[in-house]
Amino acid sequence: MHAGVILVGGIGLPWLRDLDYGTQWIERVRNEEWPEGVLLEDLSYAAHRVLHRLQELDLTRVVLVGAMPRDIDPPGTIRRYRLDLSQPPVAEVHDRLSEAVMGIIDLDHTLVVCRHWGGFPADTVIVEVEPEDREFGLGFSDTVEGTVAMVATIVRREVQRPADVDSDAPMTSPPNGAMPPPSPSPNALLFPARPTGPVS
Amino acid sequence: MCFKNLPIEFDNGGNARLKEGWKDPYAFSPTPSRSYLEKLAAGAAGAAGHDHAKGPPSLRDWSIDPVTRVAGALAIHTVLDLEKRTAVEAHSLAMLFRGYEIILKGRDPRDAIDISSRACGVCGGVHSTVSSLAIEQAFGIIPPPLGITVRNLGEVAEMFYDHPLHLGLLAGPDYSTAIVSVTNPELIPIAERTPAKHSRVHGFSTIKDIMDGFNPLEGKIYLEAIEQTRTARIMCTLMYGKYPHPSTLVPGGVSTTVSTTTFNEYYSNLGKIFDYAKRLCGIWDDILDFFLEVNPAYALVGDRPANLIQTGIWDDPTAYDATFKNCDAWGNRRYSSPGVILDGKLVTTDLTRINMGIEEFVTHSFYEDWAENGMKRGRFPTDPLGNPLSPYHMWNKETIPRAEGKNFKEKYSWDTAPRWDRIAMESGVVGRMWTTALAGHLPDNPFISSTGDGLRIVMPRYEMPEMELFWKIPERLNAFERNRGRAYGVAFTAAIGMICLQQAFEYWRKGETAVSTTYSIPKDERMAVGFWEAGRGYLTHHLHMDKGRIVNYQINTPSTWNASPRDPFDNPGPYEEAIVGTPILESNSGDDIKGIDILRAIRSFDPCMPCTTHIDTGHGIITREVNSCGCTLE
Repeated sequence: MHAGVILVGGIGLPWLRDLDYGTQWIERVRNEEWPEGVLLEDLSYAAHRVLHRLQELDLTRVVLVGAMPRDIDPPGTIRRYRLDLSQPPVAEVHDRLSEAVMGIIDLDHTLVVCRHWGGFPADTVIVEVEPEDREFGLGFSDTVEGTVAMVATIVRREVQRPADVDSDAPMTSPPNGAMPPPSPSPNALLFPARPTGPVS
Repeated sequence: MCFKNLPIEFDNGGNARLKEGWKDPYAFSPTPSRSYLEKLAAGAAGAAGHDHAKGPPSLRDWSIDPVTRVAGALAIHTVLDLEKRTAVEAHSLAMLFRGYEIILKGRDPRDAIDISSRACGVCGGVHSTVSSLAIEQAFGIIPPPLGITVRNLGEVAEMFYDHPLHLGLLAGPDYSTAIVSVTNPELIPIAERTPAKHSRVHGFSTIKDIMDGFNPLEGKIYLEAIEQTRTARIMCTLMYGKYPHPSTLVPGGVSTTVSTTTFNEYYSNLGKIFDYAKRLCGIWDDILDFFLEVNPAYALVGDRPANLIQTGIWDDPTAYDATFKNCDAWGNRRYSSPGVILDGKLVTTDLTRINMGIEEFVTHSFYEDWAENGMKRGRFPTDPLGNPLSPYHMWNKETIPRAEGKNFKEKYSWDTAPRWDRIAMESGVVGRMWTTALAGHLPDNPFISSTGDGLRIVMPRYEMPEMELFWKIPERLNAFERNRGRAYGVAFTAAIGMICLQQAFEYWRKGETAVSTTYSIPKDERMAVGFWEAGRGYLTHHLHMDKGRIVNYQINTPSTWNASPRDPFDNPGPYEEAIVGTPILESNSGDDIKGIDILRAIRSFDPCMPCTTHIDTGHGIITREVNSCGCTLE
């Protein structure tokens, strides 16, 4: 049990196959049973709007889920990292906010803008998947489809762990910006891409 | 006469018809595109004033790619005359293809509401709304009065997102201490000792204080604009249930559950806008007047002829019946009037005439010319009332991407070139108020009146006392007046919000609480159009459906007009017109030129370029940036 709310947010790009991962993943797991105090929301909107939403909630923990094409890991790789909450460079905040206010949805925009204004609680974790299919359309590629159950397992572990316990691996995020370090890295927990099929 | 260039005339009863004796009335021979140097050599108009005895001019290509602080991918190419310190040539390049028209083919028409909504990340409901209007016209249904009013209130709220963020975050920083100290440091000490005329309203003592307020990320005006978008989102959500991209806008009204509480909450937030608008008008009057007083040449920045086109918004629930047959009647009852203005004079406010005068050319765009220079007859030679239509009209348009001939003489943009009576038209907030002021169609109300030379706007008391504002029709259309118009547009919109809210309470009190109506999907062939406006102005969705499916769906937005490339007659689009003649007033020279004056010209339009689900049909490339303003292109 946690005193405040744990927010699990999905960030995706509608109708763009794997890039819509965050949105679709949330929809798939929304009706499953989650511990009390866990709020699942689609956060697929502009960064400053997400900031406003975070400010409205009494949050103890945030877990963000999405697909980000970093092109540093094979498609289907799951990266889990704890967000570094230090201040991003001001110029980067301005550039990203200028895009975000025009409606551009982007996980990194959200991380940078919300960090700048202190929107995230200290315990914020990102679970992102390396996409394969970035074409227009519905559904995921087989490779990314194969990550859905594993991501659910990871997120459940995140929402159930006690406060102040950072899961089972040393994790930080990069000192500046929202990008996680290139793989392989001691700072991010990687779940390598696996063949399509059920995840045990 | 309504049209000077199109082959349309009117009989004594005001009925439009094609002029007689024209074999191919809409045909034309494209005019070869000429550069500034070629015009100069030929002594052509627009290139006059150069003293040939002094030798060739000192020209320099200068490009901005991408233009930042605009929505999406816009590039600008200019040629600067370094001796005259003036832009002499310009090309506006929309860099990405959108593809909605192709995505929507063959779908259930109702899909257009959700899918087209994604055309814009700022205006999250306007495309859904205009799509609903087109569909309810095709289906032959009429929303109940409160459904129309709720739709109006949602649109009001959307403007409170669009305008503040543009003024505070996108255009505003161009007038900030951070920018001006780099481009025109000589203005800073003058600003420090210049008192702000409206300081008692907005709280900034000097012009320098206002410029500090525009500083990115830390200025008070900048930060307040971000906070303001929260209020807008709350108001949108009250009417739409969800924002952005609401799912409650449907043919025949809205599916939102509303109550007295809904309207009360909306009212409490609208009050905040009243005060915000009062401050905003004072801020922008002070900063713009300061620049114009320090150097009157700023009036030339972004200057172009006052040729404007608006489709109108905010329907009178007692007049709107969704039909094309009566669109002139209900269009003229809108709280923001539709209209066409040429050289500052109102030509028409009739939606049928606005509609029949529109053509969309692709001579310099990356598309195939489906009408073969106007020689090919369109599928619909007339609208449903028998008014003539060009083969280049949206109901006749075919979207056929073809990225070939990439150079300024041939094709250089994914944007098309919409024209009204073959003239480049601009659309925006300033045009919205200009047409409303000249049309004089506003119904009696306590909040806004058109005076013929402007709009008188009463902002009710909230924390600040009631205040009367007056927006005067400007003497010229330039970057500064576009921004000033947008600031006053917040007050104009808030006043309309108050009118609509009072109507909502009245319908509720009378028990007329229905917000939607039932419908069935017709299986026969239908054509319809939704006329509405985005924050930036003009917005139409033209629908052709048959057997319950979309045959053709064409979206035309304000930035389609504003960002357009040259037309077949070598006439530039509005951005291009506004840049040519813009003086370089920054104090930097040579390689140090920052281009702030050109950027002010462009940003004053509040560009909205495509960033959404654009597809390069040749390679299937989808860009990273998704779900933003794809208003401009296909």
